[in-house]
Amino acid sequence: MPFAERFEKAGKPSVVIVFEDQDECLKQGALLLGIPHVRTVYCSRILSGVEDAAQTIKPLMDALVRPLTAEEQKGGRWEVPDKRVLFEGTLDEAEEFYERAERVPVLGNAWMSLYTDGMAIRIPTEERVQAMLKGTSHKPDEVITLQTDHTPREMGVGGKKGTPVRFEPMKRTATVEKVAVNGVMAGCKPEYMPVLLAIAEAGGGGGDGRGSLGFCVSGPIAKEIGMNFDVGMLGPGNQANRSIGRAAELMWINLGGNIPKVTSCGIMGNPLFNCFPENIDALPPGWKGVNEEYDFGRDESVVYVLGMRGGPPGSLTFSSTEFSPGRYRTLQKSSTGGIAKRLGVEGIPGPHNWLEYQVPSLWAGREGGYNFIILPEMAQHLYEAGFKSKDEVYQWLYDSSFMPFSEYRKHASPDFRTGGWRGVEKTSGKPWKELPDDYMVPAVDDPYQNCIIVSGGGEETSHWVNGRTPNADPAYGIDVWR
Amino acid sequence: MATKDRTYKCLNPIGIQDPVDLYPLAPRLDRLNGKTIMFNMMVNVEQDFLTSLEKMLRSDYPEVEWIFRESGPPIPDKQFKAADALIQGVAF
Repeated sequence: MPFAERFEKAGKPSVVIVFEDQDECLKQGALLLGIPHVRTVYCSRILSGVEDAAQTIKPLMDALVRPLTAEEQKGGRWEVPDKRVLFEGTLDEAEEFYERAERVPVLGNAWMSLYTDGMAIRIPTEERVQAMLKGTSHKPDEVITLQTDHTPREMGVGGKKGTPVRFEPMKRTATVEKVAVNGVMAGCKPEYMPVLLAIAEAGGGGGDGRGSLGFCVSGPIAKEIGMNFDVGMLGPGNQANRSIGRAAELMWINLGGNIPKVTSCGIMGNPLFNCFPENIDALPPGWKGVNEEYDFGRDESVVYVLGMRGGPPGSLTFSSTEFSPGRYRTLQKSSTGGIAKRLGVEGIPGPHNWLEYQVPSLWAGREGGYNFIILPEMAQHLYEAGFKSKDEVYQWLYDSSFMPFSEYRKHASPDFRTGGWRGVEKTSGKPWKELPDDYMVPAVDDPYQNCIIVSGGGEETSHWVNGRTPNADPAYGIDVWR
Repeated sequence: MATKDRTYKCLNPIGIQDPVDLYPLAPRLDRLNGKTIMFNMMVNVEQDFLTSLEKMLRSDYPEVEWIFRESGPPIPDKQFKAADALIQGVAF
């Protein structure tokens, strides 16, 4: 879109090819660039390439020569007033006001809430917001900015310290008070404010509209505010886990302006609701916390952002193993059963590297690393199986991801850029086309695309979701927001 | 006054939207003959669509000078100056 902006503003006509179902999102993006009338032509999700090209060409060329309508010749200025007090009335009236919804034509006329996630909220009265602001030393009118330099995450916020955070998808800014307003609406307590502000610094609950984010709290504040580290930490019942996660989503809706298919082009949405904590006290000896992986101290708290949008954007949540009932324990206690057979350790006393059981499924249909949530007991087993640091696990995962080029070539995404294996393979430095079929290729670009979060409790399972970008910086300090 | 009858000031959760200057569309081309049109498309979309489109544009509009390029890297100034119009693909 910036290319079309450059042409149009220079007095040269443009036309944009887009899918019909993404047209509304494109128009919103065009509005933000100052070219709201940009002409579009639809391509097809189902026609063959030849048929699609044939039906696209004439409308494309017509869009470049057809004279402008009166509407298309209009300029002007788009302004959205920012009122601090949005509503004045009784609590009953306020509930009715904040819980209003409107029909969205491009969503099949479905109702979408104007200010909420679709559920009832706690009304953000001035008094309640003031009470929430007691959870931070930062002034209410302070604009949310990056507190340290941040390498941009993929499609996420980044920049130098002091850069105002632009909340996607509408690239709005926000103040500390507005974060507190969303926190009140979500049911948060004042002591959660530093976490909420760190999540806001990370861009709120979602990126550029292609899906929402997950948040993990690493560091002592998780215990201070009473987060649940144990059974059900991704489920209902704990106010901190649930309401902080909810506040993040409200930030995406209210601070960012996310409306599915109107301002964002996701797919299914992301069912991960809770913010969850890392159980730093349960790490095996020598294993770093997520905070330490990003050069914070173990006594410092951070929010770690999980990109839940990878793969099929906007539709990811955790995958998990089927280890229960008792199959995992059978492996570790008696070295028998199906897992022991696959690992080739029948009768050999453990603990065993149970991650090996998962390897065939990890890269059967995709590439890249993973964020794993690993139970303390299972992390301890990895430690006893020989992994004295997380780094050793990350390296092992990387090494385990190698597969023959003949197999790798059958994957959907590796040749994303050229569409014809015209690039260069990273480990050999040779053109893909010169590699023999049996050349071993890693499905993971870098060991540090993987990340382990030790937390949770109960029956032995492992959870994972798409991994991280090694050189990006998805950890945001919480203590600076106290 | 009962709590239910009391009125409250309720604050705004919406982020702050910067004003945007809006531009009219650029005038359209008066003709295609002799014009240079840039086709800027992500090369990682469906190859059969892209290849077909490029082939048909060249054959159906031979009077146009075509610049086909991969979307992503900035457009060099020289190419930008040479182009009279843009076809931009964002579908993927």
